[in-house]
Amino acid sequence: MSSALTKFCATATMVLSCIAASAAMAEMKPTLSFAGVTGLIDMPSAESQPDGSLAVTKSVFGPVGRTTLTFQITPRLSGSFRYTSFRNWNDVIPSPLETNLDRSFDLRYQLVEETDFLPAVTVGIQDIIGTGLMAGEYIVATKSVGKTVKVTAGLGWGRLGSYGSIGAPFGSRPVADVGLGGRPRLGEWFKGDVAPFAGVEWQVTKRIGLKAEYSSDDYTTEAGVRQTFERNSPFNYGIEYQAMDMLRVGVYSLYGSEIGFSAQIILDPKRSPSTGQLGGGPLPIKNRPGSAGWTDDTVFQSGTATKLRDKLQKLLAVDGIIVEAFAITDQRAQLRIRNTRLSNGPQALGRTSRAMAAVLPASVETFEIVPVADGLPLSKVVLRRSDLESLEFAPDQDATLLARTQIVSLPGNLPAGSVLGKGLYPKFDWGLTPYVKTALFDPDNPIRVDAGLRATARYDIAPGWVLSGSMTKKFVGNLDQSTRVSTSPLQHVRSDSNIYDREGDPALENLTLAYYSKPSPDLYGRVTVGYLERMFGGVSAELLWKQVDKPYALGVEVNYVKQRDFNQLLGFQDYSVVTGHVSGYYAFANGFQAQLDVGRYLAGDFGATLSVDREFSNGWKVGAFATLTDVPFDDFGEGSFDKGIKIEIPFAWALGKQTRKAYKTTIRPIVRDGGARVDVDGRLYDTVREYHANDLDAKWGRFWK
Amino acid sequence: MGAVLEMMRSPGPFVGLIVVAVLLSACSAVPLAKAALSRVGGGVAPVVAKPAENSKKIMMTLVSKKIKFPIQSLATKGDVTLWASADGAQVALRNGLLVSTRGFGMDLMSADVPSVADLTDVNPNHNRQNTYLDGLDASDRRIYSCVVAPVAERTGPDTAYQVLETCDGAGGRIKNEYWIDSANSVVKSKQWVSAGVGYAIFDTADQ
Repeated sequence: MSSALTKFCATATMVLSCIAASAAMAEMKPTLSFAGVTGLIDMPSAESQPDGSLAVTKSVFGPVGRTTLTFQITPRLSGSFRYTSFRNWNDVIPSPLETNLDRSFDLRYQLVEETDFLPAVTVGIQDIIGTGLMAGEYIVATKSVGKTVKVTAGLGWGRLGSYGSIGAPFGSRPVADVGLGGRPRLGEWFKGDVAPFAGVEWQVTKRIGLKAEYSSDDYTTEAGVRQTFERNSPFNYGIEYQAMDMLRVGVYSLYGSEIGFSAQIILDPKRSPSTGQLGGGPLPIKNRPGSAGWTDDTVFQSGTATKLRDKLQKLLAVDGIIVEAFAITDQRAQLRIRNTRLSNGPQALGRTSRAMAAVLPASVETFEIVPVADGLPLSKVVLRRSDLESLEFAPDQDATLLARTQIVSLPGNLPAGSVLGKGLYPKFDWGLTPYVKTALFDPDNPIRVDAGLRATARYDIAPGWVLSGSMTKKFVGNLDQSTRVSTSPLQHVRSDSNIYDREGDPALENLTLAYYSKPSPDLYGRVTVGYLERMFGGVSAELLWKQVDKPYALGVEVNYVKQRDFNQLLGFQDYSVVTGHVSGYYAFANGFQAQLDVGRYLAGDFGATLSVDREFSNGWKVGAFATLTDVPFDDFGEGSFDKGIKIEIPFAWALGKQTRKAYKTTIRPIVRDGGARVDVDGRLYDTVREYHANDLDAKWGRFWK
Repeated sequence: MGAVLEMMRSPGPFVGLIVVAVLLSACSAVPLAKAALSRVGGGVAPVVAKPAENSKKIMMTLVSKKIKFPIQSLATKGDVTLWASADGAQVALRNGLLVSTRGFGMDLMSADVPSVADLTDVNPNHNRQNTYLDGLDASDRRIYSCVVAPVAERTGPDTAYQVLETCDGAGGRIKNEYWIDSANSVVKSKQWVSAGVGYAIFDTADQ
């Protein structure tokens, strides 16, 4: 930073924004290949990305373009989902496809970590359940030489054993029966010709790296059979530039005939690009001068509770915390809060307890904080005020306070003498925001986009009762140009989405009345009536059993829904179905979250969905799911069964500012009608568990922030 | 590819990710970040705890960021004074030794620090514990074993005794410097905050 900027920071005292304006550059890190896995240029290497990293790679050379999403699932295991396009597909052999589009999924596992003497060794399987066009297996070793050079050598099978083969040690490779895809081809793995590959990477300066490799991929189909490019040489060379901490770009010479480009983006949940959350510090905790005895009478006769509530609300509003209800006796106070801004639950509890310490009479020693969402009290967090006072600057303040804090369940009703929050019910709120909607991977046009305005409205009638809706009006876009007709033999519960896109302008996305209730301390309920989502309307009822101190939960959901008209206004089509699931949830101690749903899906099919997410305590989530139902693979169509990847990136992590909003996406290689669920808003589990022991423990580090 | 490709629909997974990532990487440098911020409804929150206008003031410098700014006394509790910058970032000093920061991103959450007597004592060894907040919001506790050595002796009543505290631990090496006056008060110091923030200088004389 220049000295001029230094001075500016000092005079304007914009300390926080100045801190945010500097970011550190990193050392030699594992880079990515054209296939989007850790590697050289077109060949993989044996290194792993930092645990939990999410990488997006876009690469292109000649007619071959690839976009790959890779997640380092554990320190040694990674998975990749790839979308490949082969242009000029019909140049010499007739094909209805000018560009062949292919999806593939890889898994790789690091068998040996690099040591001073041993190289890292990784085994990988490319295109496990796709069409087999990219299928290949490898075992590869990488060793660092000094601090700036890495040498890689490996053996490849399948695609990666197609050039310079040295034999077929495990027998011949069976001819692929691609079928509809979606099934692993176990019999092929490590069969057929094997060929060596090798390469070297040199980090010349902090930002510039060079790569050279010998490739064992012959591009038999692309360069040979279909002659989409000329493969003149097995040698590839490239230069890469670390443009930003998380962005690396490169330009390459491939196969003696083509120029290639790549862009690699690596997001590490543990490394916020904003270097952590900036913002004003909390209220200091004052020691009490000695408690004067209070009686219940003095509190309520003088209207003190209302005045205290208003003081608390004024302090908490700064952090976006809303007082739902407040009750006080001479030694104990209960504050029910709604956290609308802080991404971290314990931080909301910390800020709330500091406001209580600043405002409440000295006699009040026990603080009860009850986080509330959708009118549901989620848990009761009981703190001793004297602990807050004594631990404010103590080493080990977080662990000590957590050990002394009780997190308990509570019934749905308010304690006697509660004062409700000011102006919360009934309350009307509305918003108008731009929206962008995309449809990807359509062979006729891989990216279609619509843009327009979305109007939302929410009416909080009483605690637990919410009327809400949302409507869109498109201004520009080409989603309406998709004319593909679904050939699915099942009811078109999802596969007519392009017709919904075309005809829904303006579209009533949803309009529902929801009621949330808490019949017992560990039971939570939801009933939602109305236009639940853009394709279905009806009634949805859910009951969740979740104990506050347990990592598991059980839920039941039953829906009676009718398919909506394509124009997404008020009408319905003829199709109706009763659909629902029994759901089991389990949060593992290592941050993995599993969910099993068993039941009936929208097309009337019966089956089960297994979802496994890796969750980080700062809100990052990366997961995968798969659904198997009684729909035969042939009826399901391409892909054989429903599966996909879910990603959630909190804006708070990204921007270093306080907000609960997040970038969320679900990537499905293909959307068909089997294994589809109603997309109803307000499902209970994620809301409820946020303030239960498991989640609070994991995020407790921010209590004192 | 045998089967006919059907269309896939989703809210722009790759494109979205790339846009988000690029936006974020660039966000500290370009005004676009401000637009993005207002769009997601975040922003620097108003300050909840502000020092009184005429409260005591010292200067703080973040060495690696080359930022120098005043901090003012916000509250005291025993031997700890809590200081705040104009935009609300906080620093707690126990007799001049840094015990915590708030609002600097990767904050020092708490610390077990030596006393001033430990710094001037004949026995130069002590342990120190720093607790940082890591990128996942978890507490990262680091224990260091430290040695204190004088850098410059006091040559007169108005000069300071300068000591260097060198601490080694799993978190690497930290070198803190303290200038201590004849009343045994730390009048100036250069202390390690965290990996995200680096070293900070606190100076009571620089106004």
